[in-house]
Amino acid sequence: MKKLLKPLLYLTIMLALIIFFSPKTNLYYLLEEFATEQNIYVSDEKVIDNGFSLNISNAKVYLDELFLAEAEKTQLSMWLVYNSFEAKNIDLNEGFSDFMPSYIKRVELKYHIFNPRSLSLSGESSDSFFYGNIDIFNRIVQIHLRLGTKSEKKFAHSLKALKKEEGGYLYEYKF
Amino acid sequence: MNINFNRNSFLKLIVKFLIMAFIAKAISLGAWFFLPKQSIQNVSKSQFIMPYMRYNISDFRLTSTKLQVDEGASSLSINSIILKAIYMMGKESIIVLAPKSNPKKSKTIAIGEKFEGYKLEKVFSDYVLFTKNYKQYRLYLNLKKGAPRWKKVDKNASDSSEVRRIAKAEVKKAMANPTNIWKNIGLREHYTKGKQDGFKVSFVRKGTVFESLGLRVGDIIQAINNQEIKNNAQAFKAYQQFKDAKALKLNIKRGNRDMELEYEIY
Repeated sequence: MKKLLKPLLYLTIMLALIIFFSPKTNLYYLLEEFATEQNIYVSDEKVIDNGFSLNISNAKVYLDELFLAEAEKTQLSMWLVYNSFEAKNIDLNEGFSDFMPSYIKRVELKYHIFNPRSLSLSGESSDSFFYGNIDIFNRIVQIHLRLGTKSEKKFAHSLKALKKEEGGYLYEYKF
Repeated sequence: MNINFNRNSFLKLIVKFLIMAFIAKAISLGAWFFLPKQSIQNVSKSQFIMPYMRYNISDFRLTSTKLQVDEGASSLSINSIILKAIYMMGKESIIVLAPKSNPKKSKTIAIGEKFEGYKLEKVFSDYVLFTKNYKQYRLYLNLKKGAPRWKKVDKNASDSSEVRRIAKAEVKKAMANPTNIWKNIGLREHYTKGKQDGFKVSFVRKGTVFESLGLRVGDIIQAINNQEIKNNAQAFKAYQQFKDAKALKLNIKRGNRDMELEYEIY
């Protein structure tokens, strides 16, 4: 047992060191490159490498040239086997206010090696929340929306475009 | 002796840790070498988008016929010059001229400018007025014999060539409450070979501005005012610009036909 523990300890330390020294800012730039393939651009952000995570502040997100949102605080954690992305205090383009909430409290994206096919996502606004996943292999986004009465009433017409399911609505998108 | 042993073990551990840190840093540097070094910023392809304007030269020609003509002017045409085209835009009107000897060598001039010593003074529907050495000359548009001046629109053949007119108030009313738009028209993303190529009209409510636009169920809207709408972002952008548009052009696919629907918003 002792013989097994020692190499495991070394491996853990080695992985921690690799994560610590990994060029996270450059990895983030690589992610940005992947995003641009979908015409998504992140601009004007401040990126700080905190050793085990990457903090991005005031990131403005664009789809093509259309401003989508600005996230006040974003944290990207890369643990090789488990990676997460969390954005807080997101202000959406005011032009969308007729279709969706203009403020989102939190959005979280998680990816772990035991489920390599998909990313799970969740988030919440003032009176609603959502969860879902992104199937990387089949290129499908599925988001389950659970809305508060106020939001459901306000966005009733936009919701017509979504599938109704038990307890809320389902948004599906192929990319 | 025991302390020395521990100290040695500790030193060994430190050395091992440093070696591991060195290897980790080396791996990191190796990865860094292949990774992008700069962030991608959203640089707008075009900071300025030309507003879509539709000039109907025929209309300009119609309105200009009321202008006063100096009857005392020479009615002689200038034999060595051909008047190829007139673009009537008030004081900013321009004409296209060419020497008769070389009709392909065209030159465009505006009011006040000179061509072969002839100064362009006035522009009319089918001729222009020049002055040279205190004399006035009329130069007529070089129309081929029997050539039609007005393009006849066959409404039955295609409504793509028809310019519809829509009241600004009607547009404003429709845009006032965006959520109401979806009551009046249904649009679905349309894909061809897995790629989105526009938005398909799933329903149009009778008596709405969308019916006035001439849209039919099954039409695929591919571009608005010459801007492609192949994703929601482009559609949203077009929607935002549509609010202040004075003219509108929709490129649609109806069945197998590519059509252009043009509108004037008055």
